[in-house]
Amino acid sequence: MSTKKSLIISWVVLFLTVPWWFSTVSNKWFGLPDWGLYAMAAAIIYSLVLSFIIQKVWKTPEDE
Amino acid sequence: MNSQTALLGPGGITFLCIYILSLILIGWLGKRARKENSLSDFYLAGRGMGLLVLFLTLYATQYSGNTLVGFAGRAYREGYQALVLVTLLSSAVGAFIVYAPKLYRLSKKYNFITPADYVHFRFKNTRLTLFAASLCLMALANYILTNLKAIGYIVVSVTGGVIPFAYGVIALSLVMVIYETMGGMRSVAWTDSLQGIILMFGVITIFITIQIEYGGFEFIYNAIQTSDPQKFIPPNLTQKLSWLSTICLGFFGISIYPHAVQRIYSANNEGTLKKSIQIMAFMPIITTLFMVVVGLTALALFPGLDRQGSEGATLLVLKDLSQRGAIGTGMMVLFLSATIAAIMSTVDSALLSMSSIITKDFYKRLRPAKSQAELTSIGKMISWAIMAFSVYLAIVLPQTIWRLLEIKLELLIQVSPAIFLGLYYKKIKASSILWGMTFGTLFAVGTMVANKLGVDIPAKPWGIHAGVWGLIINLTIVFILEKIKQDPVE
Repeated sequence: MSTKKSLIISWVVLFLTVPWWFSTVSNKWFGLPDWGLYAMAAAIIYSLVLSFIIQKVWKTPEDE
Repeated sequence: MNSQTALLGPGGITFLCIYILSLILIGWLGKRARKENSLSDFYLAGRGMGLLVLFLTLYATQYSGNTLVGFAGRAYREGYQALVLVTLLSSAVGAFIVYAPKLYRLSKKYNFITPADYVHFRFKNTRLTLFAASLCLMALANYILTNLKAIGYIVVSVTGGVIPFAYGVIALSLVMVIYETMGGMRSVAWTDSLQGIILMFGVITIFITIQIEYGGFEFIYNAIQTSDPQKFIPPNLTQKLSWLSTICLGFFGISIYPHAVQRIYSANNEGTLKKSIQIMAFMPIITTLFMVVVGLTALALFPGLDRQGSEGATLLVLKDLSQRGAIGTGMMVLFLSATIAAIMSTVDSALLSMSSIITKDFYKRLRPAKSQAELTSIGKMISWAIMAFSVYLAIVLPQTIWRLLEIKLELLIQVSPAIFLGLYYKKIKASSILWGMTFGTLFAVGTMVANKLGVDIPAKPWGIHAGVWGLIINLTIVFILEKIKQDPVE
């Protein structure tokens, strides 16, 4: 995966962390309103994506 | 001592005092480890930070007292919408990925000390360099002042007012400036490491205790459903735009705080920097998210508090846990140590950064013949002067002025095009960046100041922060000027 592509993916995921899709009063999921669970899960996924991108795309002299 | 209102007894306060004084010892050890009398050694620890210290100093610096006290208060007031704070801090790590690899390599090759060193290297325009350095200084000054004020209030709470606000601010500032001027970045990073460990341990412990004692999210949901069901309503479009705008502040603002940039310069190698940033990607989950849960727990336990009352949300939960016998004095000492540690590690880093900017970006331009040793001495004197002035302002500044000091990220974010575009677009001109920065700053500051002075202008038009509007204007001007300059050539 190229640096450019991975950065774009990270920005898309970051944009999607906003709970855009929710507009009505919600149901409970795991003790959270559904949009709250979405926001929390999206934040965790974003952290995982960042970690993955750093690992795979950032090549250092020490890696080589 | 007024034992009715003091958060800690004599034993707890003694422990806190020993901990704070031990920071001076660490500062002295930092001084002994000095390798040369140079700016690079003093402000960047000789560019030799290893993984553990680099990670912990990045962590302790990024998470201030506001994380432990302010974020929980915001979660109390805003409910689940405060989850944006988790992404706010994550987005700063996302921005590191964009600029840190390139900037690190350049800093190693050209010996940068401050963020403005890069701006000058890239654009070779003194006005732009000084403007960027000035914006960094203003953001840092506001950061130091608001954190000093917070530290004063905590001392008053801990001692039940036996130590007054002013004495608390003076005493802790003195400790910080002593260890900072002894060993510079090395001392600051080492004390940050201790503070980072206490901070992480304190936050994780309080989160786990809450889960065990109250029952976690289920308990919070059921209690809020009864007391404040409005908190379940999803954000409307304006609030969603505000959510996105907050993320932009983190991405373009928090990520380029000068003390964060200087930690990137300080890594001993690129591998160390990469691993530190990789670990940092998870810190918003185990710090910010946990503190949001503390705030939501306070909302579930103590509904109906006003804004001022909600700022004490964390302490209310701690007191409740203490009354239930779920935590002892030790836990209270740990959390208050963590709060003080979080504030001190942020203030000392910002102080060191301000001192470096004044010494390197301003003083050295006026006195280019000064040696590295002389500049380091000047830098130490500047640290003392900044701290003395900040303490004075923290004690005497009227509340109306304090409201203006909330403008931090709105200023800093205007510097981001110089760094992000500068690193990736080789043809971009200094004049475009300078004009963009000027108009972006004028718009952001004008809007914020007018709003805070009571003029009928929203601080967040359509939910978007004035600083982010400023950045949009900033980038638009850069784009237009670049297009105009390119056309004759085409």
